[in-house]
Amino acid sequence: MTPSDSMPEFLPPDAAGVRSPAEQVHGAVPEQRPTDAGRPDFAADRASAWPAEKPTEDGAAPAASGSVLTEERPHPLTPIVQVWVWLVAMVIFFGRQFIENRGEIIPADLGRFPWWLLIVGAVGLVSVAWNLWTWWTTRFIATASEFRVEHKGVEHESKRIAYQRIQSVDVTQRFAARLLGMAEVTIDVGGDAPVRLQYLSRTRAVELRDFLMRRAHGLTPSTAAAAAGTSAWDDRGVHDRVLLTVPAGELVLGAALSHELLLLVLAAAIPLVIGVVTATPLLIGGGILPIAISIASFLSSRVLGQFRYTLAQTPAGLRITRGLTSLTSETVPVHRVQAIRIHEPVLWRLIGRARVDLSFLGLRGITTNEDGAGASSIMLPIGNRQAVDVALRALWPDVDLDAIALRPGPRAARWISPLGWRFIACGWDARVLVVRSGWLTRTTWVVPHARVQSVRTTTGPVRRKLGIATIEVHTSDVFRAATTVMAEPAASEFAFAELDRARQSRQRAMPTLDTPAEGASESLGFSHG
Amino acid sequence: MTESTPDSLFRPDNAAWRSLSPRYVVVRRLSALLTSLVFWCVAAAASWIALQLTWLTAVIAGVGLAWTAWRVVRAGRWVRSWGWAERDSDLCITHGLWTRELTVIPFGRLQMVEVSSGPLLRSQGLANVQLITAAVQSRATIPGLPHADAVALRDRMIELSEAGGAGL
Repeated sequence: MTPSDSMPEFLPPDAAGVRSPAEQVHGAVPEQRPTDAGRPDFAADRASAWPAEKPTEDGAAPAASGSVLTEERPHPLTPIVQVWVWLVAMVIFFGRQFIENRGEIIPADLGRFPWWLLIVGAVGLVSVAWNLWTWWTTRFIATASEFRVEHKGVEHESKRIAYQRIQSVDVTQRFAARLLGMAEVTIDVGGDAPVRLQYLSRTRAVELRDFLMRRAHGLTPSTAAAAAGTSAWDDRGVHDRVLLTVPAGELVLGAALSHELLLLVLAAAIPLVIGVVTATPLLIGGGILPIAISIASFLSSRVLGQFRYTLAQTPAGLRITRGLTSLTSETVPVHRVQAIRIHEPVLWRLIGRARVDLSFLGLRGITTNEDGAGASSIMLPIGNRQAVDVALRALWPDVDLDAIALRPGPRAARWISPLGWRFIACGWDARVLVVRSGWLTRTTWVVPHARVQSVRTTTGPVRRKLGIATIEVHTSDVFRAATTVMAEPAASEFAFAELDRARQSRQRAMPTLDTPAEGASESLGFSHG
Repeated sequence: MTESTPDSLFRPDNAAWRSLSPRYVVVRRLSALLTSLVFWCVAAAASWIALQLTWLTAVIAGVGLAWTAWRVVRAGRWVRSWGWAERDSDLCITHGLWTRELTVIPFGRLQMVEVSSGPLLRSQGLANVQLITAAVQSRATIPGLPHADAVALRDRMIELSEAGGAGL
């Protein structure tokens, strides 16, 4: 038994304990683990792990060949998918030629081609060749201890991902890939840029995702049977339990009642008014048309990107699936979630709707509502109170926001924030800190004490006269700090008190915050709408 | 002045506060002089060469002089306003005269501790210590520590952050 065998293969990162700070910063650099080729369950592993195929025996396996579970290339159609825009353009062009020239696709005289088309064609062919070469020289290799992406093209490159370093694995089906039944796998390793595997067949991608997630969670392959049964429309395994779906009507409603749409409509009103006043109908048409187009694209991006949003409890954790043109399926790394924000824009408050954002380590940036693929900060695009509760409880089963009494901010805060001071509030229980602010969009932060990175109290000449101070609670890079205002003596005590709570919270080891909440929300098979 | 507020709010007694090196005042003054020299002299010279307006040049020079003098005079108080303390499980940093700030970072959250020093700091044997957590906003710096202290602080921080290892 090697020392690493005596403990579970993977502990939740919080429990993984002692890592040097530098290592945490460069956490994505997968250090070479001792190869535990002598693991007793290795044979069982090989039989039921990600690959159903036998490992290739062509000698391409590197030094630690004994532990290679599988090795394979990306899907052969990958080069085509990567240049699909170019292909579509070509098909359209030649299609038009075909129709215009009655069946003659390539004109006899090449000089009739516009020069730019030749360049586009040449660039396209070169990139197809390049992609083909990349495809040929790329291998995905799973070993007993790590996942490797070997690239032996012009430059040799080997990305090694230790299973414990994997934060989350997403399966994205971009439009073209989806048409051809292929998917991209994005492996998020925390600090560094995520590793993208382009492309695998859909089934293979899901198998790989499940395999990697099981390994990342240290589960033996037998504890979670492969949850196949995915399609171009959803990504739902046999063991998955749907907690929440958002119907398209909700998304349309949310988009229709958003600030952005209001601004666009106001923008459209300007040329309309000017045109009517000056009696120039041309101006009305010319001014409104582009705005109408942007309204349409705004509505479609809001609705399409989150289309068929589904939150499901799976054996590997929470999974969110969404998108009409690109289907994104991401596994929420519950134990990496740093904070959530509940947004209630002013118009949404009228209909009792809210949006939930979450931030976890490894998240690149805030996702707005675009048809973005990959890891997203949106946990719930729109939902009523119950839906928000379901989402929250799926994440942290024993956090009850209603039970936390919020203390309003000091009256003196009205001098520095005349509109928003009424909404400033802050409260906490043993587990989470809740900070609320904002009059146009009311934002409620929920930060587990254990996730607080630091607390800063600031005051300036004006605030000091008013006897108040600003408090920032820093969580992760993606969200700005949760900011609130408190009266003076309480404010400077708060920083220390909050850190004491954070320490106690960490010492309690937070079993529910650290482990994916499996089966913790048994009674919540709730699907609204 | 506005520093009349009881210090205890931003420098509570529950920790042993330590100050920056007094030599850091020299560094601040020198750097104020140097940057002013470059910035305001160039501005004044440029305005004189380009516009030939005596009054404008005089105004620029006057403002520059006043600002530099203010910074030089102020440097002592500014440096003394800084304080840092190690508590059981966190590091506290406070500073500021007009805008006062108190930042508290748990040791377990420290990802990286950097010690850096430029030529000016080095000439006085000083160094800056920068503390980095997973949140960009909570980046905190303790400037102007004696170099040996800075290195010792860094090593202690790293040790404590490993011991308090809260992971992420």
